[in-house]
Amino acid sequence: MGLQFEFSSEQQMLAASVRGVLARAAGPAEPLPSNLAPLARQVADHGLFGVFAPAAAGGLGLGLTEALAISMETGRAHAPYPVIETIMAARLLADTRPSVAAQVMRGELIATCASSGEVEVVANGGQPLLRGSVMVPFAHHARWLALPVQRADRNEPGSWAAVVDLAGRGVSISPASEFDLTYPVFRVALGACIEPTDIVACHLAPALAVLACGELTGAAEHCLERTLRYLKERVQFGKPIGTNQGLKHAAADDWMRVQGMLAASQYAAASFDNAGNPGGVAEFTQAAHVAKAYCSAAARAVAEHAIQMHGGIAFTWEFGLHVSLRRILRLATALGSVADHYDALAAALLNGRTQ
Amino acid sequence: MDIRFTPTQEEYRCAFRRWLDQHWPNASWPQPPGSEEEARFQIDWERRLHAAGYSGVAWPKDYGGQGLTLVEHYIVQEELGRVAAPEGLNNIGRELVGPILLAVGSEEQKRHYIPRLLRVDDLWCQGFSEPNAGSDLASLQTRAERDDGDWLITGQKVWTSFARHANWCILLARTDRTAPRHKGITLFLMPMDVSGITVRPLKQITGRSEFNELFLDAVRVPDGLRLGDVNDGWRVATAVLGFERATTRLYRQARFMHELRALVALAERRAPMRLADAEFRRRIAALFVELEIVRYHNLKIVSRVVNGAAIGPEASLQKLAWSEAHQKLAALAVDILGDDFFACDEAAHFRYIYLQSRAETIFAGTSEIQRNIIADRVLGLPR
Repeated sequence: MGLQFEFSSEQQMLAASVRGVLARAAGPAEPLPSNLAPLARQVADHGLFGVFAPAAAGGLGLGLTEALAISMETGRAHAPYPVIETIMAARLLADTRPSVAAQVMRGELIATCASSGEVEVVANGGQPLLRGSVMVPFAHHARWLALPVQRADRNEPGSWAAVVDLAGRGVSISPASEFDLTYPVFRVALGACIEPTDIVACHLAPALAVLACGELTGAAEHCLERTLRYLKERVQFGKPIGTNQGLKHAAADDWMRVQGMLAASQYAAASFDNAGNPGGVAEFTQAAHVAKAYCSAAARAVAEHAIQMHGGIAFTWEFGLHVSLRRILRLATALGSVADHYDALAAALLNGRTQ
Repeated sequence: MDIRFTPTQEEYRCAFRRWLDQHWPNASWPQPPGSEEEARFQIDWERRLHAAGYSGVAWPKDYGGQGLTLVEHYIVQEELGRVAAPEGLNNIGRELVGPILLAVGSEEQKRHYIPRLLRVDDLWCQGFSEPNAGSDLASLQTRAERDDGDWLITGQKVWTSFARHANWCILLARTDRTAPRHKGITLFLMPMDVSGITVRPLKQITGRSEFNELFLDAVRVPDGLRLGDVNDGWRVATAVLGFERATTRLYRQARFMHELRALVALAERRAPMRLADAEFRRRIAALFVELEIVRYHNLKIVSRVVNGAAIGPEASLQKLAWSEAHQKLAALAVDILGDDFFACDEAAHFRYIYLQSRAETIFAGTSEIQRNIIADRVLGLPR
């Protein structure tokens, strides 16, 4: 079909339907609802949790690009639900636990993914042992966890991921952070036995990082839109503050950042969907590092500038911009910080010359 | 969404790469800056590219182009940047005059001038800026007055690239001093070998003299060399400039990536300890990321054009992105090479780009003007 570096009209329609669901479910600045089930059912009714799961398992069988279009909307709405984690977990569960996957896609069970930490697979007779500690959003609310794992049990190259029942034995969950008011994070310590079939080859971490880039882009766009509205409305010295060149240039820079974030996350998602081509995996991995490094730094700058450009009003709890700032700061650090992704890129660029 | 080129387009890239492997004379470039040899080398290179069918790639065949799309043009530019081939002495001709002619030239003008500029039979310079009309280009004072069906042009132009080599100049002059300032300007094609023109080279901070001052004293230009309607020059020039700002510098991202790799290779020889330093490693990675973002923006623009969408003021984003990335690349060279930046022969190119990149955030609309354009026309902020 040739070069078409924009969301297709189908992908835009998908995003619009997600936007509609989320607008009906919750406003961006509202506190975390105690019951997540109604939102889960509404998202599930549109089949969105299965966007990335194979059609044979009851999913929509679409690509990471479609999942990205959804993530931009969950980011924009600051959805208080692990939508991107559920999308990735549903894909893994479809390969490992099809009946659980079906429940997750129907919104009956919450599934989530680890956002940092290290877990290794240790040989343990017929039942491999998962050992380590990870940070997990919504672990307290979720039943199933998907996470990248290191294989200490055998010497096989490649990226691996496992699924684990959070209600099973050897799992300990404790609250870690409520800094992001829309996304509670828990520490999950694992010493849990799983089935050998619960481990699959999968680029879970970089794919989820790309969806985090989508959330960062949507959330940053939300901040910029609020800021632009304010620059046009707020009057000081008898004129809208948006007439001042200092603020104009700051806003122009932030618009450029949002454009860069959009391009980088779209490029990375499309690279994943092309990863079957020769050299495709290396290209995707690099594009994911580029996207997460760029989006993390850029979104954080946009959120911080939004507060500066609003002035004192933005420092009030009620005004709600801090909700965006908090969500962006968590996302910018989860799934590899700016420095982590720079380090990975530098290692590849410098031909293995190490620190 | 599809970020891939078609198999036919990939084959086109492979074919051009094979051609470059055979024909790009890597060993004889760069030539001594500002020398006659350098000028001859560049003109010869542009003619070889044209003879092989790799210039005017997206222009109609009727005017000597290849009749392909902006994708093939982009592929050629990217490959030229990858080997750091020069942009060419006639880049004003290819990137400014050609597109303006295609947009508003008469059929006769198109058939005459476009094949000639592609063959480098004609070499073009640009007479837009004046000493008192820089960012505020519409305040230009050079005037063209009717005389016996001809025009007499008098005034002063500045920052006129390649004027010493050029035999033609694309010129903006005021043709109605009573009209609102944007509505009294006309575009002309002015031959450089007529009486009344004085060219004075300007020595730049790099030590080179690519820019010139142009003094015009009643230069006689026939009305047939007027381009577009009388007093419509501003509209034509700005419409084409907006599009061109987005599509003409596609080459640079690939060349800057080439320069980044060359800097890393030089640092490996001269400053290996710094490549083990986390701070420098992250700066290298950050620059790589920034250049990748420029590449994505290039792809977006090409994608938009080939899918029939318009390019508007968002082209300012592209200009800001590449010019600021290049300055960061130059700053990294200073910091990573240390004493060797100043003292070692191999660093000469980085000394040059450090100085040259000062101009890049100034010419073709300063960074401040680009940000104003984004704020006013894209974001709709009040003036």
